Amino acid sequence: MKKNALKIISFFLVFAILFSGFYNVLQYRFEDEDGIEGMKQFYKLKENSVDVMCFGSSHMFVDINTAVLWDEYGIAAYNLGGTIQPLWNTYFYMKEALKTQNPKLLVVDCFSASLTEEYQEESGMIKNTFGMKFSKNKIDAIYVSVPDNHLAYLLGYPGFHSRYSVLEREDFVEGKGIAHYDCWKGQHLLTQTNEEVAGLRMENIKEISDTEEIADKQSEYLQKIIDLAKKENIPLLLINTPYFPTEREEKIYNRVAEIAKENDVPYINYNLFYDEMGLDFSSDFADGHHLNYKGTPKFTRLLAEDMKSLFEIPDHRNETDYWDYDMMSACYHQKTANQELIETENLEAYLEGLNSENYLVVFGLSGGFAYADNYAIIGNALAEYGIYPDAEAGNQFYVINQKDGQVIYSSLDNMKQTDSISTATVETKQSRWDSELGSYDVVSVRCPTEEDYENGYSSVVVEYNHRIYCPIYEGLTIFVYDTLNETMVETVGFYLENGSFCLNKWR
Amino acid sequence: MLFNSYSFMLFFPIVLCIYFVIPKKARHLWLLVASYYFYMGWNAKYAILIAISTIVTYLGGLCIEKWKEKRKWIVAGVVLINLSILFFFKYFDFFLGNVNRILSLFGANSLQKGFDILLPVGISFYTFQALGYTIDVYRGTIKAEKNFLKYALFVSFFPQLVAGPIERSGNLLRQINRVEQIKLWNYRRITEGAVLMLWGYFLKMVIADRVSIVVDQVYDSYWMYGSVEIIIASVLFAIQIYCDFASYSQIAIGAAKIMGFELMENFNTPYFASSIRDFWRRWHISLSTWLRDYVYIPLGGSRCSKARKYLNLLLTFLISGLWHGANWTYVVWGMIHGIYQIVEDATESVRDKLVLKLHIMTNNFSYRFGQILVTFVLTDFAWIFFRANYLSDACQMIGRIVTKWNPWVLFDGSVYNLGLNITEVHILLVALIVLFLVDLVRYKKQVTLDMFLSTQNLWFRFAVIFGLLFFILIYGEYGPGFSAKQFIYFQF
Repeated sequence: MKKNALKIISFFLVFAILFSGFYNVLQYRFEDEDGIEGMKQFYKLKENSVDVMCFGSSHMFVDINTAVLWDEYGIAAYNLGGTIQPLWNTYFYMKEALKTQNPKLLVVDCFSASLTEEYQEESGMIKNTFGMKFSKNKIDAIYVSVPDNHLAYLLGYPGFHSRYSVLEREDFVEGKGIAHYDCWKGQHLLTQTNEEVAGLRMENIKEISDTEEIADKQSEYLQKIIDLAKKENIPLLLINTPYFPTEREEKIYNRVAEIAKENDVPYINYNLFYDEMGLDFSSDFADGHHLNYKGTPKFTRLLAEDMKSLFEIPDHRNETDYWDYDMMSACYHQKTANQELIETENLEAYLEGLNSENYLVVFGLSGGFAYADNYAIIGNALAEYGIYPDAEAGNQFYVINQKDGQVIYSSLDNMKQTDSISTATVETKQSRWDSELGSYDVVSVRCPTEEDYENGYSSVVVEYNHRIYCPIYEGLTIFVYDTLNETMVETVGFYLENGSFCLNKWR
Repeated sequence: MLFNSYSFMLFFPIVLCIYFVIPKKARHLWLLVASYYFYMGWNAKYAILIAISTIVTYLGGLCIEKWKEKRKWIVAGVVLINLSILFFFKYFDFFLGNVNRILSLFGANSLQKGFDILLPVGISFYTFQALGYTIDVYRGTIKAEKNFLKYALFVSFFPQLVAGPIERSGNLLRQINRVEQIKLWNYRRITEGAVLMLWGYFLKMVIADRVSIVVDQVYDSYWMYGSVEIIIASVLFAIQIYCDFASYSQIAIGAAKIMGFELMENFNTPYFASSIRDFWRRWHISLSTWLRDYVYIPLGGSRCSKARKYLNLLLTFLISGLWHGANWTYVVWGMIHGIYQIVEDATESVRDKLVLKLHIMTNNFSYRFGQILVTFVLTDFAWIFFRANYLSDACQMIGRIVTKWNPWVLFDGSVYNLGLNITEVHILLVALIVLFLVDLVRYKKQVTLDMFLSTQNLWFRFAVIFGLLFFILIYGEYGPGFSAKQFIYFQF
């Protein structure tokens, strides 16, 4: 009897261990915007450490720039949202957030007030509950979000067990394998620019004064949100982030304004203040609904000014407890710098842009680079690091850590060895630099081998995470790695053409 | 309530817990309540049909014993009432459709019915089980059951209620009568039952439901596919129908075993059969033996002229086909199997002579393998009619197998566009290897998985059980119907 009991206990013990392992690996780890990671990271925050809690759909978590709020106003904010998040999701997010945080201000984006469906598209909607811990709020959020499959979604596992076919590195490592992910404050950075959205602008937007009724379910939860804030005695600010709304949506927002007024809650529709925030429609939007990294600071500054003028929000800059905000800001700024570098096409400007202390840079020179008539641009830049390439040596590369400006590897030094008897200089067959970068990346840079030549690679070869980058035939290859965010920025080339370095890069 | 539903995952442990702790005398009552709840989980109203069938056959049994001289009339009445219910709920639409087809040939107006009939789940199973009991009492094989509640449990015993095995009164009713004597806390029996259930879930959720994706895609738009795809889908359907059906039986047998009941075996490595006759000794054993005992033998069986014997065979298999469903595709499927058996029997001596004359060695692997292969091809050909949506579809599919030869789809990656991508195909192949190994052990050693495992060392048992368990948990087809990729988008 005892033996059998022992067997049963060990069975369930082993099962529990194995199952929790599989559960952790298989569960959803969406991109930031999908309403899972935001909630999971939120649970890791210290209690009562956030002053401004922002809720809403992607309009909110893309456009409200937590780094700008921190850097320029000392506001400790967190964006807790999910894609297509209707107001009933927002309501339960808010209830969940207020269990551990006692913010000075709640900000709710009201884009979802314009949604009309009783249930949004199921697979898109239900994931907004996946990041929530098991609680009454989670149960309520599931029941209000989908008409059926409640038990499966509550258990979670039946919904994500089939992810075995899409597993990748981020599913197996803590924090998705992203450096300093624990400091992230819920903002999703969009880097792309869509110039064509400018045509979507409604010129007479300020003249729309009619209202349109909000769908019953959204309206009910908007009221619940207002009531919850009042009950908790926390100021509430309703907003709409800037985008290109339709006339119907603007009428809905006019109705939101009425409801806000009836409840004595401030509401700001930032669609009416494009000019005040100085938005450039040709460069500041990622798409018709979201600002990009150039646009979010402009909007966020106006939002911060409004928040500061309407509410009492403390400035926590220079407080050691808020070091994670400093780190979040540093990571954010490095990411925007990376994007600016990626967008830089000109050789001189590009070399200038490499001067970030978080970069590890590989310069690879190939072919008759030294005879190019504009070689001085490169020669001068390399001379600043004490690098003087050998025109006769052919392919060669240099690895520089920008933190201290030191050359940590020179292929030239490793290619030439001195013969102790004849004191003649002989060339070794190949030079190669291998290194681990960050926590999970590996890079291997080499002068091309015979096999590389056979494969069509004739200039310096960069192999990053086992993928080969060799963008040019001859000229300058640059590999840039961001050591703060632990990711490759890019590998590009400036090729030789008609005896000159092409001034625009080649990917 | 389906075995692979969340409701059953809650229902079964609750039923078990209470069954294990209540007084012995209440066990049959509790199982009866649970069985009716199980059935009513699908459609509460149709539980009345089981109740009617139960009452009629219960009273029929008592009457047969009481008025022995009139027992023929009584048994005829009981059979008629039960078959009438079965006919009305299962075959009325089919019958009406055929009558209207005939009427239309003569230009007459078709007959309309002013009501809809929903096919009651498991009606063919419990009706045959209850009729089997009545005929057994009529033949004097068993005594009529006096305890109505115990008899009601025999008809409605939830593990095998909706998909068999079709139990015999001599087996299940006898065990129900001794339910109070069952020693419930038997570690080995319980674990063996659990292993059988696990194996059943593996067959259903990993293999049958995965394979059905390809089968449905090809069979539902066969005109889009050539020979190779139709052959692949048909071979896979043979696997699907086996795994689907056998899985229900395994879960039923396992669940009953945990509760202390031994249900009859229903499938015994059918695709290792060396002849069609052998196939029917291994496939859906509870039905084939039921038809043998209550249809084929009463018709005269094989103790009559050859012609009569063949007619009996054909009739039995036509009934078998019709039992499976109200569609000509099933009737033709049954007929094909009847013809197979007739041809097999009629050509036996010729084949034996041919083997001798050609000096073919029969006591070796290649001969047995050849027999198994031929039997599989024949049964699989018949499955085309079983699965096709219409008879005409089946004929056209066979036509396409012959005329639309397209072997290149095996090499250009087209086979991965049949609903299962390369990862899914690999998972399926691993699962099929596991199925093959388990069936091979069964075929060679005549031991089922539970029996095989109970003789192995603990580490091996644990390894196999965890392997199956996590194969099901990860690769099983279940959960809300969306793929992981559906989630990856950015809409707002």
